[in-house]
Amino acid sequence: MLLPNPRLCARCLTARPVVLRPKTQERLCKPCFLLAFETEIHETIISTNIFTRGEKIAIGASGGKDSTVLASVLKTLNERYDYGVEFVLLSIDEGIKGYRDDSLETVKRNAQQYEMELLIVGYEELYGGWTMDKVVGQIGKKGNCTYCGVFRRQALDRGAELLGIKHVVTGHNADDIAETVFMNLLRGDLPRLHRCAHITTASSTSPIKRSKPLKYAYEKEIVLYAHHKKLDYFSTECIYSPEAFRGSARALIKNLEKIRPSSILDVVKSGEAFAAMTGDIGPPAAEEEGEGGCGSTRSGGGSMAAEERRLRNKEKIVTRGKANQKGARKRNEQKLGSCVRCGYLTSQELCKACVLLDGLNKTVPRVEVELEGLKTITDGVQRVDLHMDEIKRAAAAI
Amino acid sequence: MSPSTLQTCKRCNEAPATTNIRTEPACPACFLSYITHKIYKHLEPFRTRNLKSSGTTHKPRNAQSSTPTPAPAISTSDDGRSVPFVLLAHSLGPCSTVMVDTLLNWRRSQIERAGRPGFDVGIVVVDDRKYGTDTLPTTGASNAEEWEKCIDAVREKWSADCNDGKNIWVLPLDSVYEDPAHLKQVVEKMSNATSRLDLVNLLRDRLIDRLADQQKASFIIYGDSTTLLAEKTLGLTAKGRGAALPSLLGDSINSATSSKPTTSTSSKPRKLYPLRDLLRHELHNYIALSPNGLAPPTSLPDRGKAKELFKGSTATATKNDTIDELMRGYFETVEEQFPSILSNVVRTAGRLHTFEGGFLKGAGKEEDEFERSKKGESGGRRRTFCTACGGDVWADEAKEDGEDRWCYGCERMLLGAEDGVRQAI
Repeated sequence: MLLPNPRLCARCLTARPVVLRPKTQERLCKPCFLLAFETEIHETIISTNIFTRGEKIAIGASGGKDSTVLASVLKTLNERYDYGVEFVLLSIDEGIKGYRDDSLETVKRNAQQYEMELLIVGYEELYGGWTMDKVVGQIGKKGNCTYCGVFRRQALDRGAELLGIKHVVTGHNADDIAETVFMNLLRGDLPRLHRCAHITTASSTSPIKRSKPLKYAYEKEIVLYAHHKKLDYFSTECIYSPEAFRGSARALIKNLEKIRPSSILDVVKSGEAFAAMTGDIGPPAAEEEGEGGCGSTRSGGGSMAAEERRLRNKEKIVTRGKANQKGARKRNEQKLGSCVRCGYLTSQELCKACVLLDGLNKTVPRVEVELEGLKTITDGVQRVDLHMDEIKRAAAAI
Repeated sequence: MSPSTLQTCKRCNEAPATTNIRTEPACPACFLSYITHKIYKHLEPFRTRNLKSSGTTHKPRNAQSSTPTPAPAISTSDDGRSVPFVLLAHSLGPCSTVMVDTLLNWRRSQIERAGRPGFDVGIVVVDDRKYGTDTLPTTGASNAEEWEKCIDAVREKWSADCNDGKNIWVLPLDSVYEDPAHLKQVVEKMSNATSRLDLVNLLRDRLIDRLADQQKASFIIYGDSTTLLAEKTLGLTAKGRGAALPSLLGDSINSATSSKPTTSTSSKPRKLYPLRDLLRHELHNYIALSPNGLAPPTSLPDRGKAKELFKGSTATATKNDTIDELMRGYFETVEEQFPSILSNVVRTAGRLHTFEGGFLKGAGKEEDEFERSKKGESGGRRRTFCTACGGDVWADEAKEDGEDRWCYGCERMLLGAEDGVRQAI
């Protein structure tokens, strides 16, 4: 058998290779790498049927490499393969100075480059003046990702609803999913283990469907794609992202990749197998966090020490023989309704965001989730006209 | 981490605490009692009260047999009552040593108390030293002389309990194939250290399973600690063997505490892991505190390299390391600081449903799966078993019935391997 000439691209056999693909260890020239990367994402989209012709889809855009590559690839593929869908950009402004304000500038440029509508939903407007800077000022860095995750999830849902959209795609890549599989194994979260490797997740507590078209794309290849395509993205990590539980899983994944590059994909495949082996076992122990397009999708999860404390307490409760019966009864009684304060879907009287806001507001006058004054960005892009009556209708529908 | 000498044991509130049970200070007596209690909890299938009481003296397995043909699986006493035959897989490492010691001493006490044991026992040691990696010995003893000493110690100590030593087997890993040279050729064809070790692990299990089948054993007992099981759980996940976790780790992840003794010779032997509630360092501690002079027959494996491999968050792994080493290093840190997280991994894996009879067992999905499978609908895919590892594999991803089927994990193991390996395995 003739071995391919290492001085030539393994696919076209004519050009000089410039990329050693982390995923397959192939040496490829630039055009062949870009095509291979795009084609794999197209195959993922087609094989999983995530798009429906005529659908309007929001891309959760943070200005980071993942969401920028996602927007670029989806625009390319939509034109090349005629999916017949319309993409818009949806960004969340957490109010983190020196991080999000800069990255949002990138998103605004992306909106112009890709000729997509852009809507920015801000925590400040939505949560009565609470930006993440203020939240961290109040509670410190520890555990701030929980607030951010809960707020972002609701903000994304509200933003999508305002745009009349039922489907949001996010830039979660294979590394992120592999980290999540490990994290869920470590913290024993079976409901999340069940669905973390799914390409599309629909939750009973959210009217919006979320998909991850970059599910099989390696983080390293995403960076290579952005580099070779000269994409305009913002590369700073969130300044409040602590050394979290996820950090431990992430370091493990990075080491695994060095030992056997296919490991990342192998963990994702194992995660898919776990989904079939867990069945549908109800909602997760806590509200989702870290989902939905955080610029640093690696945030969240709390610390290892906190998790250890939680598990020890749980063991004590189980030993006393109370936890199982109580938990089972509670799960059976769960009924989906609306938050009495803001109208968001919840199984409790108050949604998680309102509960967190209550905690924050203990020392300051009470505020509620607000829909007035949501920011719209129109810089040379098709305008998103939002009237207050529309906003209220949308809020009622959530 | 030993507690302050001023502390008293939290369990008996009398003796001074010299060690810890997880986070609680404990005295040696309470610690030893805790360990044995945790092990006995998983030995329910072998209690004499689970057998019909006979009052007759137990006849050692194979005692009547002078022919070279394999003896019947279940020892049968004069009145027709039987006890299950248990095969102990012994790696000669400290955890295995605790397992063998505890189980066989318990069996001796059964004979003393009830006049008969609740089970018959054999010990198998697989000699895979030639195929271990340099940094992670697949057995605790890597030195040839020391290894021989260990084997002699096992024979000397336990022959009387294992049918005068007839039920102690030392099998070279090469014997998995008819031609002993074949294994070396196959292993050398693998593309990387992880795949080589993966194959060795797979073949070791195959050899033990084969012996258990030949001897018609009802149970295979492994001395894997919680730490090792957590390492295996994440390691197998990283190798793409997630779907095979229940079949590869057996009862380590599926509770066996309520099971009754299996005497059927038609069913496959069940794998039990009675040390699954105990951390590796607890078992090492048990050896150190054991009053009956329980010394490991071998020195502890060198853990230095593994620990260094995952120190802090700096990535130091290289292509020549293995996934097993990485996991060992990772969980060594976790074991020290976060033992509950480590136990949680094994517990979580235990909640994954198995596939039995080709269909998802548990979660009330069997019928659904079956019906949808018949209609060929999505979500109703049929499961079958991998030719190489016995793990689950989607039937529609595999070849036609009767041909070899390879699960995703085995395919990954063979990635980049030289031609002909698939047929050779």
